[in-house]
Amino acid sequence: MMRLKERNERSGLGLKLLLTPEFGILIPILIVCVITTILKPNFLTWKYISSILVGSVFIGAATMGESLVIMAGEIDLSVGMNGCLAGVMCGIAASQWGLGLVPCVLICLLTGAVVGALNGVCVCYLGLSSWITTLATQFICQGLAVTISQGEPQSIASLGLSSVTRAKPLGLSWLFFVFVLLIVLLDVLIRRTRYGYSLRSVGGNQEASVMAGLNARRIKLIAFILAGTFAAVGGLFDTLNAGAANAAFGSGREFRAIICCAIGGISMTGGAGSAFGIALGVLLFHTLWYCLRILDVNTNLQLVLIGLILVLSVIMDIQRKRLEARKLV
Amino acid sequence: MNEQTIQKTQTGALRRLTRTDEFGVLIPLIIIVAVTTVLRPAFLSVGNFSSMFTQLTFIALTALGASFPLMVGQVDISTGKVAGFAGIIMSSLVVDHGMDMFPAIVIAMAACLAVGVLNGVLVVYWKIPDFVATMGTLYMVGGARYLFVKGYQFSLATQESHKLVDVFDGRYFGMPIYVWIMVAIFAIVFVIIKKTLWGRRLLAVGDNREVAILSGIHADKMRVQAYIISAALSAVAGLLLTLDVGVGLPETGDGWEFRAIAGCVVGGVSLAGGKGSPLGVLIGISLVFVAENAIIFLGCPATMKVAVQGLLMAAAVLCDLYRQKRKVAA
Repeated sequence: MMRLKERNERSGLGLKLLLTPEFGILIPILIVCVITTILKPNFLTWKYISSILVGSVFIGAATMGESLVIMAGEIDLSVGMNGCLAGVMCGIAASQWGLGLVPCVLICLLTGAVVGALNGVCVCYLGLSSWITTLATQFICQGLAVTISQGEPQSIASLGLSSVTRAKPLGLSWLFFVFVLLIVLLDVLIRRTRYGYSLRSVGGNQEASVMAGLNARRIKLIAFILAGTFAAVGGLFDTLNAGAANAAFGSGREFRAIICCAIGGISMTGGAGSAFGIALGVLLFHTLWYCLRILDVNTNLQLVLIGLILVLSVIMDIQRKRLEARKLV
Repeated sequence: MNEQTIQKTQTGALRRLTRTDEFGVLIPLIIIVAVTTVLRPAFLSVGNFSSMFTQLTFIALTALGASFPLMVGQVDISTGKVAGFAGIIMSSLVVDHGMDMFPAIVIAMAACLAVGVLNGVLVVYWKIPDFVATMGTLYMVGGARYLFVKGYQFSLATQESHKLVDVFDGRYFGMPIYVWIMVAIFAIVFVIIKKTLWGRRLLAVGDNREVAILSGIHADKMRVQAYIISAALSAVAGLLLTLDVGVGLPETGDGWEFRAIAGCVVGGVSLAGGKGSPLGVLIGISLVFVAENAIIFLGCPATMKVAVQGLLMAAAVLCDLYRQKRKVAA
């Protein structure tokens, strides 16, 4: 009897572990890596691994912003193009206005924040639906970015950053360390601050949190502004990495960011998620992307697989919620 | 006395006309045309308008499809890829497998209907948020399209199927045949939405699902049907374009999904569900095309085209919101 109970508990624990978003992602990452290593033995070398880590920061920055909005129960389709516009503004500030490093970065982040604020005001205060608003701002940002840059790359060579961006501390890039720092900050924001709690409760049940005295509109507005800023960070990473801003950066990134969120255990209906999960989600997505490329899988088959993974991870999330609900009852 | 009542009913009819949702979309269309014509008289030429009208046929059909999920309060963003999917399946079957045109069309339609069913099942029965679920199928179908591609073009004109391609090259009453097909489909859908029980039920589900269920409508079934129709109409659009071009291209329909939704929204299809008419969708998608064309005529940089689309969409949604609020107040 005792033993049965123990076993029950243990299997319950195993199931629980398997269903924790963070742990659930580690397994597919390992599977992907093992398969790639078998097929291509030199995969597990630092050269490939560092390349995966550094390559994931660009989607990663956009995903961090996206995750906040999704946790609040909305969606942001403008993160890709918003970042692109912010990067272009940074490039214009450097190449045409001749500004220094700090003003350039500030202009970049400010552009992202302004677009995010625009999204937030339309969604929270005018009551528009979030995906149509952010789709509209996506179009607007795209048009503006191409028009402002006139389709040409805007060099940021005048900032004199090439020695910093090309440096390879520990075989990685400084951008990667900035990204890790941002993830840690995001973790603190989500788990340790009052704002993080209220964000998740608004996403989980808006009516209840409004009745509990939370200012849902302001909380969501801040989430959109933060999303815009993180998107701008993504654009800044792109620009720094390439040494020039290009209006072609970041297209389709919003979808990839949403997929990373779904994989990373951010509940698509709002209310749950962690920065650790986001980081692992981005890592899984990028590892998969990279391994499929190393293994010479047909590019179009890659798209099919990514679609499947998106649907499967959301189904897993829904199952997880169902199990949790059953336990409560 | 008698004259007075006649006058009254006449103004009543006029007032009723001005209050319809379609009329609200017509005004900005007329304003844009008028302003552009005053500034650039060449804009209002028969050639310009007929070329615009033939171009918008395919996206108009996709938009009509996309309006069905919107009317029941959901969204389908896989429409454009489904259009390309249909076209490539048909041309691959005809060119690669030597199939006749009509069975190929039937198989392509069936494949696209399956995508519609998948969308419906994912959203309605598996309860995945609509946007994310259709994004998943967008990726799957979008990638699958290219798996049919071989190293050569799927040129339909060289096959014995050229009779159908010839039909598409000809002009009837000054317009290519697909324009008339589109007009016919819009007319049929208009009657279905406005005059049949099924159409009213569809709008009822979108308007208030709980009330619809309580009054005995199978809401879940209607929602799946909306997704199937969406896929079917997009497939028709893709097939028509492939037959018109005469070559099966996998990238057919790229980027249509959001222009289609923009057209729907501009045409008065409410994102909250429960409101929309095929005529409005047609006017809305025309407005999107005319506005894009007009800014090029006005000498704006062509790169601003996308931005104008975004602005139009935002403005349209704001207008819709304003109208809905006024209706509730009244």
